[in-house]
Amino acid sequence: MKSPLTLVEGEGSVVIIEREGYVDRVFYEITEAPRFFEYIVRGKSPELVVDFVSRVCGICGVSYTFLAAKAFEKCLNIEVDSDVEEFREILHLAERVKSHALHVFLMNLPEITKTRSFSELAERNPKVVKNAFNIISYSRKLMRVFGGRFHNVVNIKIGGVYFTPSRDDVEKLRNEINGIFKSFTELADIILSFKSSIHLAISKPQLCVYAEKSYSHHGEKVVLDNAIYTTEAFYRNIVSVVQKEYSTALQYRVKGSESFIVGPVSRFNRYYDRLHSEVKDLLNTYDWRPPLSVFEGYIARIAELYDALLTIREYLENYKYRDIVSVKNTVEYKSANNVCEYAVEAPRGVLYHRYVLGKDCKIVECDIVTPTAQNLAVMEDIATQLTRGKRALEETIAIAKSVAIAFDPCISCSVHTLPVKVFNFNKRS
Amino acid sequence: MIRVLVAKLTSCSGCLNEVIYALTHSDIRAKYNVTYFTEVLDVDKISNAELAFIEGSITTKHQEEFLKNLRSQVEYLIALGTCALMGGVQSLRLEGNIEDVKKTIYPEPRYIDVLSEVKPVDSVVKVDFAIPGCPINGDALVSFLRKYALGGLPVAIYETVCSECKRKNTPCVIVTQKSPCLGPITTSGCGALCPQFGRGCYGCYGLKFFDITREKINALLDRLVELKVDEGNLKAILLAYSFKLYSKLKESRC
Repeated sequence: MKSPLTLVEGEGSVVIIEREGYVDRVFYEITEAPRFFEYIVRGKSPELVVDFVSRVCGICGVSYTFLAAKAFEKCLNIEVDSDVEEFREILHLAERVKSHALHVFLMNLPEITKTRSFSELAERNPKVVKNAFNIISYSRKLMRVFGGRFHNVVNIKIGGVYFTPSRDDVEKLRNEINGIFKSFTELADIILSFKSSIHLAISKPQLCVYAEKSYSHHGEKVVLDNAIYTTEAFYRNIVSVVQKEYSTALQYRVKGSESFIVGPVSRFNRYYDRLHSEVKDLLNTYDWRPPLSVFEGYIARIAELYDALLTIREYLENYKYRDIVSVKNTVEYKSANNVCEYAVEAPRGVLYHRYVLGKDCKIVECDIVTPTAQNLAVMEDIATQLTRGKRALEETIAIAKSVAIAFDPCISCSVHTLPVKVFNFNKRS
Repeated sequence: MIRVLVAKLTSCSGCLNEVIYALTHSDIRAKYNVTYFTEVLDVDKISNAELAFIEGSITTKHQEEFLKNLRSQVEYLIALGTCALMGGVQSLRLEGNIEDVKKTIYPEPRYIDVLSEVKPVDSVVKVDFAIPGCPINGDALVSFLRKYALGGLPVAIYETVCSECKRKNTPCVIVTQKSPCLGPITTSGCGALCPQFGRGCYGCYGLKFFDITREKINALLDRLVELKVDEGNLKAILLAYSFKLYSKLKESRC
């Protein structure tokens, strides 16, 4: 039994394994064709790779580019000025606003209001559409001013950025942001009042990038529940790639068995205390607090969207124009068999890159672990937990689809996922 | 209302996001009815429509069949972006044998069912219009949709990024900063984005197909190599964003 997945980024299907008409297991078949980025970057120079990897994902390209630049800067001992670093973090937060806005308003909202699409919802409540598009359009302006364009931004390089925006451009954004908060608050009032129809206590480990003082953002360590690991230790020793009996999709599991959750819910549950007080006040009004379940991801996204907008507002208000010449000098570097790795909290969760550089400073090996690939195992475990033993009917598929939408899988970037063979244990077929 | 289908093949969804951006304009929403767009609509069946927008290149047999079916359902097919027009960054995998490529990444390469080629959309079906870019310029799409709704089409402009710099009074980055720039051979449409910021163009809108010859490309590459640019990097960029054209033009040099 198979049904195409809609309302997710990219192409995939839900596959239900039946035994005599009853659900035995659910998995997600990824029909998105692989693009072999880990092969493509081999033999290329790091500065080229920083731009190439933004093409892995049209939604979260800044995460890829920022991460690659950080990984190379760390292993090549290139220092980045703290002002420039803050600028890149703001660009990355602008991407978080963009991605969360697209996800919550175009995918979550139709799902939780039981409408077939955003346009159907628009007929019922045009103001919702206006507010949502105000926020999406504003995120586009942020991306354009800080990154050059909405996707595949052109402003991150090893050692810094290519340009800093003019005071005038920043002033325009600042003048507009209070109107955006108004649109946001009106939308948040609607979304925060919805309770998920699926109730599930989380018992799965949760992973996010470890942050000493701030909300989870980027770094060289990850935290799985309460255990802190370097990215190297976690992705080389703790987590392993496994193949399940019925599925050939690559899955990441802790010590080969336990699936884990990455994404906004993991970040929110661990670092809730570090959100702006305005965010916590808003959530308290609607009685939301950690721990959230994976089906309450839209709450975590609303919280993170608000938190990112508040940080961006502070930045816009205190923006100091930096002379472009001081940040555009080309960085020269030499390499000798370096391993470059780093992790960034992409909108959908921990993104990890590892590059091995040869003596000529070209990439010899590359490993990209995407949030969606890490979540595939837990998506299947939860969907199976919710449906096993039930009759394999349309409503069962609907539950499995809801699990997929809750996790917001970005299949376009699942560089590690494989197509899946379907095993049918239904003797009558 | 003009019925529209939106679909993707092998790609990153970046151009589809520009379609979403276009739909944030209320005048466009008032004239177009999107009936298939699996990323934002809970509809999984294709039905007849006037226009279809397609992103991505073809790398599986299934995609080829899907695209032919899509083409048969619509009057006009519009290819969006570098992947659909040129093959896209994923074309760089063609530097190796597909079986070797699979083995470097997947423990079970036999389960990876992809074509040995990376095909642009027009190699399989007729394409009526094309909007270049990686990603496309969303404002060009908005302009297309507005003009189409009025019964017209945008005027095709055959220019390079250099023309856009001149029009914007942006000083040439090769001349003034010695920054390597592919603007002289790259198709226009981005608004000379990178040179505005003092960065050389890296050709993501693809080679200008109209009159760029092997000689012109080589002449520019010679100048850029004088600026101490890694020639291997330049060729990788040209292949990544202009695979369809550059793979045919490059023989004499590589």
